[in-house]
Amino acid sequence: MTVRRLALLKVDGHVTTSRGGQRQAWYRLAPQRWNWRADGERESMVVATAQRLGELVGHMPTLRTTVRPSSAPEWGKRLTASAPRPLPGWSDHVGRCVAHLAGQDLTDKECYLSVNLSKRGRWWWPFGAAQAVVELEEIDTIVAGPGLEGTPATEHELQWLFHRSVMLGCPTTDELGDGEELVDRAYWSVEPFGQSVKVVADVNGEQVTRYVVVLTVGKMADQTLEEPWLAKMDRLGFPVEVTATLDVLPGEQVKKRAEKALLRIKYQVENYEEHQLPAPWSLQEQQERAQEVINEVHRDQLAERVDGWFRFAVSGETEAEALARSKKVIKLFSPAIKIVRPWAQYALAREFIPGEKLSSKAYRRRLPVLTAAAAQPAATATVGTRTGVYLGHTIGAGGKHVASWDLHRSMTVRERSGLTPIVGVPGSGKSTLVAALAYHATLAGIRTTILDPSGPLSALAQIDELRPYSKHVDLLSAKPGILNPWTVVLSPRRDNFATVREYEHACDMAAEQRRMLCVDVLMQFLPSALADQAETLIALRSAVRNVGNDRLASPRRVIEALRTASITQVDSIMARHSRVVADFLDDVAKAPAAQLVFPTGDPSLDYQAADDDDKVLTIITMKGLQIPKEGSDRRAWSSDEIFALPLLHLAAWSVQATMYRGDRHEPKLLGFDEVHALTRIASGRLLINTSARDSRKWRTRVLLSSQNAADLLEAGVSNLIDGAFVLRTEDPAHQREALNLIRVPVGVGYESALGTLSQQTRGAVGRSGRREAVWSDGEGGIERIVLDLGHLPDRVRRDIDTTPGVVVGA
Amino acid sequence: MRLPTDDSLAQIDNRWHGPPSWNLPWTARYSAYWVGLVVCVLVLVVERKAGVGIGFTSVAWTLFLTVAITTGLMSLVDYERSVKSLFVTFWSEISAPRDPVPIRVEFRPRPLVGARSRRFW
Repeated sequence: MTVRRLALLKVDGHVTTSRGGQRQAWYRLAPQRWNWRADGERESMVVATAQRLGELVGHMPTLRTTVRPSSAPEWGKRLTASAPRPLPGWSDHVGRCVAHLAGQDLTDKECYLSVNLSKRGRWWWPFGAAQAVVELEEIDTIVAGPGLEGTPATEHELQWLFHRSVMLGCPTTDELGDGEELVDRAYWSVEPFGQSVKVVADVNGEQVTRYVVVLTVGKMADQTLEEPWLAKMDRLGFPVEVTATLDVLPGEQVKKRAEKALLRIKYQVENYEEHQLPAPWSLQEQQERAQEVINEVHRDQLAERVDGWFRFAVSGETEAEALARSKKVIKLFSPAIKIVRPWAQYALAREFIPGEKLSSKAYRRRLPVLTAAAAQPAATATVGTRTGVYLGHTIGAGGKHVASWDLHRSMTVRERSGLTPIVGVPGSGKSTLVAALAYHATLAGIRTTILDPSGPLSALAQIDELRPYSKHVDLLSAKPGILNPWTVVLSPRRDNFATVREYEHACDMAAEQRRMLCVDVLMQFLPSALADQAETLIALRSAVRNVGNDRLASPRRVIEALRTASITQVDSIMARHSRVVADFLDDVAKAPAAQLVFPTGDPSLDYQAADDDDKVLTIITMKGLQIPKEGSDRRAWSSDEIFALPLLHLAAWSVQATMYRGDRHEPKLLGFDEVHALTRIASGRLLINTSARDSRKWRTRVLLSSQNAADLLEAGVSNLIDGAFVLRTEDPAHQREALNLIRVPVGVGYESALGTLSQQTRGAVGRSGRREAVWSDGEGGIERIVLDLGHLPDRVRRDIDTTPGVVVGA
Repeated sequence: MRLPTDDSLAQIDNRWHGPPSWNLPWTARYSAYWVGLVVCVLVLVVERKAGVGIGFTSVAWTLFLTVAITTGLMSLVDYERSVKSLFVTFWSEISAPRDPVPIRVEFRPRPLVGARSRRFW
């Protein structure tokens, strides 16, 4: 049997050598984000790529784009290893995730670039090897630059690319052994003047047949920057392999070519005139274009040109399927770009294998380097991390990619905060997202505390696999004093500080936080007319300061301090004020809801902090709490509403305190709902700030759920935010604020996209249950994703759904 | 941002209409005359090998075949596909494997010899 040997002879690091001595350096290009960027950013990106290509004059760069199926088992292994203290239900959860992922047909796009190196010097030339090393270093530097951001391809990446290319169009797995596995594992054949190449390959011991149709890019109209023209294929829903051989021409050569074209036009026009025939208008247009080109070279503005041969490989289980898919590709690019299926399919298919030469110079595209750069083959829609909690997948332009999130990567690897806001209108899926994250984190053994004032998330603590490791605390029915400001702000632990000085400083800060919190909370209990007077604040601060910082300190002792002040105060106005405030607070302390803040002083009745560290999940609810509407007049509030805000603040502080419990290096997850109520007063904003600042040091992911992004922006934490989820947002002003939160430019049309998230079809009978979000992962990735809960059991989905009577994501 | 292409510069009309002040009854590309010349020579060679003598009939047939073959060939040649690429494509087509043949590559990567660590000075 005849064997078709490939051009590749050897691989040294990331350099391959082919027959004829041609050496090529291979690089893996970094994925480039295209969606959710301003036009100016996109232009800068394209210009940077054009500059890099311009530096590769004479090196014949070849782009090779391929898709790697998301390997569910590999993902599962990484997920398994990521759990710090897995609970018994963890392995089942991972198994469900892997099974769900395996059925999703998700892929990752990979883009490689090869650059031709000079052939080694003559055997007698002593400096050949040294020159080759210098040249390789120069190419490495160019390709690593902005616009390409390529890194030398690893051995495994190159091996995988060969594997994928030799088994062109066949399903492949991520698990490869050594390179010898490739020998005699793929058989290619073609019919005379056939429309496709038949590839028969041995995939995991099973014989697989695929028909591959190779297409090439024909005539192109002028392009725009709306979408990278070569990345369009990501939308197709089936894999398309791409190879593009580029010959970058220097400005001088471009000028000569244009001058030659001008001469040809001149002679042609003269020929028409000699024969008294009307010259075609196209000659005039071509003349103008040639002059433009010459002008560009004179101005030296990205004057390089690229001669490019762009090939697409589409495969199918049958030839008919492959041809039908190729028609979809043709239709996708039509009419701006003409895609054709040329003859010599076998020779064209060989071009996809690294090291092989261009089979034919037909269908050469002549492009300014900027237009070639706008192809942006590495543009993709990836977001999130390689492992972590499975959130769903990306949608829209850019294709379908897994969106998973390592909750603690930003703190441990990138040294950023762990603050993640979740914003969206009611019913957009905020609570469901928090619940799904809490479920995953708890099973992984990550200590999780959720403050859910309205209470539906308490169902998490009742889920079978979580119940033994969870507790639900309803604060409104808890013992008196549970929200005593001196209790909710924990004292620092000595073992968490390196020096005594640092520890003492932390103790001072904690004492100050307690005092500030107490003043803020007591002020909220007072009527506006009293609270607005400066004397009230002065009297209250003085009383709080006099209470001290011992174990018995409480707001009830503040009332006592006020009474003492009303007697001892020399200033009669201040004395009267102290008495009035004390009287009022005394009345307040008798209210049932206020008992949580004002301990009775009887240890048998009051809340005593217990060691509950064995529970992994804590859900704190405040069922029945009536939070006043945002913007409503305080004078119109009912007594329940007046009590609600201070209680909520204290509850939030008590949740935040869990961050400081236990080992500083232990991963933790905190979730706060109804954050808009926290940002209304100073201590609430301080809480969000301290959460943001300390989350990195205490390895804590903090989720802040709110209906309006402005609540968080006003808290002054925009610079501390590590990514965010924006769910459906309908109000135009809120849409702009949400975009500011995820650092997406406003005023360029992205606002309306936020209103279309999770959109229900008009006239739909039932609820779709589809949850969508724009997710900024904090590492530069921003994409629209579908929040997929399909990997969770029905009972869990039912329990975490805050809309009654329906199972989400079913 | 406008992203033009230079494809139009490769599409310049290159027809020859005949000698000055004498319009040919047909128009053809310059390249067609060169292809026609080569085809004519080949046709003549084939005719001589076949033992066809020189006469009015044979010359008429030569011209007819030359025009027919050239027209056929030039219908496949345009600014996208040059004459050379047409022959390359034809050769690739006839030399492609009909029976399944293994594509063989031995992938044995080695560390890059001569690579040096980047230095500052």
